[in-house]
Amino acid sequence: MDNIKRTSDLNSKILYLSKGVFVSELSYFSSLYPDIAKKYFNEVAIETIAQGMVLFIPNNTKIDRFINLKEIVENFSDTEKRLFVIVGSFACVKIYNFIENLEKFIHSIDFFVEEGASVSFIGCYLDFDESKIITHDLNIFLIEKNCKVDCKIFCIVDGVQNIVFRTKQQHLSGDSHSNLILNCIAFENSHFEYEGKIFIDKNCSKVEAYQNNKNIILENNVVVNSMPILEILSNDVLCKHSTATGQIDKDSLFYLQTRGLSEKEANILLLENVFDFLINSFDNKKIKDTVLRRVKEKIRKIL
Amino acid sequence: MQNPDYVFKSDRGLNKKIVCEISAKKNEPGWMTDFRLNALEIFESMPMPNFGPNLSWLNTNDIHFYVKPIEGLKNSWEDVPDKIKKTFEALGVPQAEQKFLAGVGAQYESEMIYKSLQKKWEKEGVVFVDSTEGLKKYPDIFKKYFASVVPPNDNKFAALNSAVWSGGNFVIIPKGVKIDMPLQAYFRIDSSSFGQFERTLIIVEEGGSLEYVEGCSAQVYKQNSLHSAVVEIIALKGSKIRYTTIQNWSDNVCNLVTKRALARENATVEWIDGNFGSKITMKYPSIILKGEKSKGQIISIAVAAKDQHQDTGGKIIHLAPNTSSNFVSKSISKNGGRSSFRGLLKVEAGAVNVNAKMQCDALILDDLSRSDTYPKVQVKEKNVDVGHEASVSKISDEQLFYIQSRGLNEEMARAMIVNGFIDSFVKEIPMEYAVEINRLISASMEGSIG
Repeated sequence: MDNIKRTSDLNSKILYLSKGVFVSELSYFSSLYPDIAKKYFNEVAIETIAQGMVLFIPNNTKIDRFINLKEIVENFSDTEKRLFVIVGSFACVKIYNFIENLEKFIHSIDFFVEEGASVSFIGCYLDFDESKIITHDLNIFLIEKNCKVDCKIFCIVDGVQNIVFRTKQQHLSGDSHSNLILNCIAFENSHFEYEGKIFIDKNCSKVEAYQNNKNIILENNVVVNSMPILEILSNDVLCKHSTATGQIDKDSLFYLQTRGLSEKEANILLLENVFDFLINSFDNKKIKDTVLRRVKEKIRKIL
Repeated sequence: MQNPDYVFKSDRGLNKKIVCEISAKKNEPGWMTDFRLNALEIFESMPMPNFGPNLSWLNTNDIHFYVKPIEGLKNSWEDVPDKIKKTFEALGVPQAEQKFLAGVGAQYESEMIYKSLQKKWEKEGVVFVDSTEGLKKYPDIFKKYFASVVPPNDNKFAALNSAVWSGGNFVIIPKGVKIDMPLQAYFRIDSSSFGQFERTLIIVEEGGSLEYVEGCSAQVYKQNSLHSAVVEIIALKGSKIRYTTIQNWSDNVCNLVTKRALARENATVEWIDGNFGSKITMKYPSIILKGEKSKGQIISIAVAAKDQHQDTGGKIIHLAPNTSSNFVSKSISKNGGRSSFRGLLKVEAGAVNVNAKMQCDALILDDLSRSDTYPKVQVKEKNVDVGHEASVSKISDEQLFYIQSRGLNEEMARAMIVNGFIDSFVKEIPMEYAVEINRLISASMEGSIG
């Protein structure tokens, strides 16, 4: 990740990353950039979501390395659980959110993507609080033309966890592209609910939007609800979603067992394959190895 | 075509007096009158649906809830009054009856006015009567199954139907009887500001088989009419039923229908559902797979044109092990129409080895139209294979160009592509209807180049 530099005189209200990228509290951001704040948040909204943070990527900024949201959040108070990511025109950013500790958990992320900008987001959610329902929102606003967003999300839910995951891909301009993949492994007694919406506004032609959700149920007393929604108000678009829920493929399991693996080892190998789509997106070997190791540890621990 | 004089027409609005009046005119037993009054209370206490089209404009005080066109049910078209007979002849119902149907029931306004069943099937013990007659002639079996699949508190409009139901068919296919030709029911509305509330109850006994076809249409008026039917199907062990609907109401009709089937062990239920007309349609035919190895299939199509909102779809609920289902939906939105798909696939705990698929494809033909997809997949069992996929697109320019390069004009090319798009629906319905559907689609595509 690019170096994080805290400015002492601003009393933790702002955190500068490289190339002019910074994170600040929403209220402070709106005083710094009133015009931009006005564009995305009306006055009432700023008051009601005063606890939010803004990650601002200026126009034409290209950040090659992944920004780890966990490290950013650790620099702000515990109460700030909502993040707004403003991606300026022709900017390019890669962000990942690796959740192992709920104390620093962002419940809601909103992306505002401007003309020609590109966003790659990877979310890996391994540890949720067992005692209550956790809701996580990911809202993507493709505001101007020629922008592109790619999201890959992986969840493991187990124990008596109750997770509600909501995503929205809102295409408000033509010639925009979004793709979202969410895979989940649900262990015993867990409850996972996914609601994913693709919205394409009027007069937004040449839009492509995709959404794919796969859920693996491993044990009994699991509830998995999936609600992929399409609301399409333009005709010159291509929009697809799919969802599949089931168990580990029995033929593959049998095949691996015939090659000498125990049932548990075969299960682990096949489950690791479920998050392969996400791992291959990391171009940084260190991050890739860390995520891979932790996911494997989590699966082995549960099994 | 002018309306005939009616034998009886209730005042506008809905209250206990009208409900009791309907029950009294049908000489119903006390339990049915009580059932109706209870349903009226439920209707009045339930809010309007909090999803789908806006129904707040629907004013029950403006509607005539019961219109009796003639005295008694006729078994010959010769006995049906000329004006009504000509209406059904224009719709091709008597002609179809002679050519390829095992039996026909025709409902005009609130009552069935004509019914016939081939002697061959009467001898086999097939019961095909209107629901009022069914209640009188077969009181025990009617009471046993009536409202067992769709209770009045299921939804607001099921409650309304339960309170004021009139007409519809009562069908029993005896054990082992397989009818090789379809039975048809046709529903017609010619009154304005009128509500049609037929109630159909079909019981297919062990090993029986039935194909049931339902058609509907209405005359165009400025005032809105309401059609709120309930269809209940009980498919017993090893039976098979296919229920086909071709809905072509005029665009002043609000169509709010509840259709549900219960499938026992090894039974197969299929809903083939075509929605072409109406101002608003809210219809989600459902299948409850309660018996082991039962199967369900829903194939639906909706065409939403100007000022139409087709809110359609279906529900399949797997309660038993080794059950399977397939759900295919196609929708077309044009000239500012809106089509919304609502689907539910639910697998309850204990229903192991379930295989369920839901697919929804939508075509949007212009920039004024809209298409929505609201599926739900709920799984409480690990040993299952459940999937859903949906796509929304326009007619591809490449397909259009290719067909035009073979000498067809753009309008014909578009009609051909749309007919291909709905092919999975058309090939499931009887040939005579399939030809009509293709004509209907081609006609509706005229002038749709925008």
